[in-house]
Amino acid sequence: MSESFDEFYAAHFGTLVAQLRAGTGDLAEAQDVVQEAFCRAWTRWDRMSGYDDPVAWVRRVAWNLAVSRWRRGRIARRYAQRERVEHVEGPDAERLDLIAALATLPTNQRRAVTLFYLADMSTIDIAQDCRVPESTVRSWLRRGRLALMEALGGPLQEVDRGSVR
Amino acid sequence: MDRFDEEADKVLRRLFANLREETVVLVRPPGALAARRSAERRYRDRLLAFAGVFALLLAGAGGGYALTGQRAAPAPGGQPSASPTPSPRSGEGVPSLPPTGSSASSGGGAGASVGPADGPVPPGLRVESVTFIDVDSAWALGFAPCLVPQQWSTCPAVVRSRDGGKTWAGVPAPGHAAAYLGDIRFATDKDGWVVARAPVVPSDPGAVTGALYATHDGGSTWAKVGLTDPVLRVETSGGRVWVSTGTAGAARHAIYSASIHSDTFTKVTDASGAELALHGAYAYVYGTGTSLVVLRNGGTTTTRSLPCDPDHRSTVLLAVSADQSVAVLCGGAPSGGDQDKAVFTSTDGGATWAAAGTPDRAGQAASLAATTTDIFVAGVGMPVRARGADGTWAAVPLAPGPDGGFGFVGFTNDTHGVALAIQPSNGLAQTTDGGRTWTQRLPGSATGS
Repeated sequence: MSESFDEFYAAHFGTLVAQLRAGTGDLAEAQDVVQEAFCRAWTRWDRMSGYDDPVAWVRRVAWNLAVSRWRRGRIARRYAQRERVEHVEGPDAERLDLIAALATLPTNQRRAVTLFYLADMSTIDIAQDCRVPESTVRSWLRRGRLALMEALGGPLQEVDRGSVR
Repeated sequence: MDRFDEEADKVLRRLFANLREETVVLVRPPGALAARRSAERRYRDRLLAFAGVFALLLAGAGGGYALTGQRAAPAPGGQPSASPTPSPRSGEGVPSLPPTGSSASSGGGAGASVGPADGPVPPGLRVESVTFIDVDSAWALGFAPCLVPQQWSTCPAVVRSRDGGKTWAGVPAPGHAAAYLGDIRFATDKDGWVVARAPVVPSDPGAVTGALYATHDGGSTWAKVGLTDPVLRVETSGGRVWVSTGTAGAARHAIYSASIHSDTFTKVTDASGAELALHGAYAYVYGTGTSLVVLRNGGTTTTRSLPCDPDHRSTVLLAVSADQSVAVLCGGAPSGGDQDKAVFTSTDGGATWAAAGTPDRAGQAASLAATTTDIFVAGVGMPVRARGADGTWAAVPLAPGPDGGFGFVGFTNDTHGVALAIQPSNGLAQTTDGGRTWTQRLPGSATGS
């Protein structure tokens, strides 16, 4: 049984961390919640290994963990934000821009965009995962794309110029 | 989706693909074993907590009797003993060997085939280099997440195919090291080499740079070859193995050669380039610029000049289809994903050159291959393009992934070739009809197109 769990872990740990990194904006946090989700998966692996899509279960647990951690840390962050010295960031890599842009999205839009682009899920699958109508997911995606492109600026200008093929 | 959505979708797909790629490389999985142990430890802790609460309730209900006069009964779930640390099993990690001190033959398996017993293909394998010694026998080098806890997260991995790439099996990878970028080459089913050119994550404690490993028992054991300078390239042909050493991008490199059965390398020459292209007894050494050193029969040296003009020397690629039949691609500076490319051929070992056309500007060339009739170019952001016998260039029917391309194309003979995708999800593609049709294959999968 552990062999199948180990293979499952190795095959999906990295990609799930990438998804949670986009959701949380923090690589270490993403690794923590994904590892925790895999821990919980192991305790019920005898049942989960028969699921059609055990990755979806791990992903949902990791997202829920990330959200609850974020809620717990919100008060502390508010205090820290009042206390911190603001640093203006210089030109940075696209990756950092993307993570920063994602952080500006509401949680639902961020989750929909992340699942769509990083988990390669369809809008129907995302709707089932988030337990909302598909039309809501489409709306989240459209608003999320718009907000991301506005926040990213550079790629948006390329789109305006029509240079992105 | 309207036009804005479509354009935004394209941009975001590229950005998210980059984010995924980078994260997968950066991520350091604590390991499945750690997850299992942590879960089991928590389960034991919960049982102990339950037992403690149960004991307290019992004490509260029955007075001090249970606590003062009697030893408490064993808690449900057993004693709080530390479970023994399980030994790593053979299937628990990316196949790897402990450091070996010599290249002594281990005798291999008891079966008829040479080399180590087949193991599973490491989950999450990303192939970096592939080599075929004939149409059936192939090895691929790559890396995959370590399943056995290490100080690093990604381990080198080698897979082998005995059926022309239809199915693959995991075999030991050289070096107790973190994952590295490099090449694998085999001359026979016993004699092979791996060069670990640079670590995937330079800050990893197990990072290696410029190491050459050799096997003479089909990959059962690997030994590090002692060369003073870091090794950049390894190629084999005509019963000899050739390596170039030095620092990438440096102005001078050294070229060494050895018999395929020996690990005693002899310095052959110095050269400005470190790239190697071989056929039979001929070795061509090149790099950026126009210098082409031709080595024949392991020693005789001739210096030739490549036909790349000053505007087309950013990328220089060479392919050899016969002892003195050479093709060269001269690429200009990449601009917005495009690159001017000009191809030339020579049938006299580089003494004279003839223009062989200009492949499409789209994409940046990364690899060149030649058969006796065709020339193939692979690269980033482009399909594999081929120049047929009629002299025209066209894309072969092999589509790259989004924002992807092919980092390598090579041919075992005029009909059998392989292309290695940059996007790991695309794996490798093979042709058995000289490039007219291609089959997408992934190591570990027997499915084709």
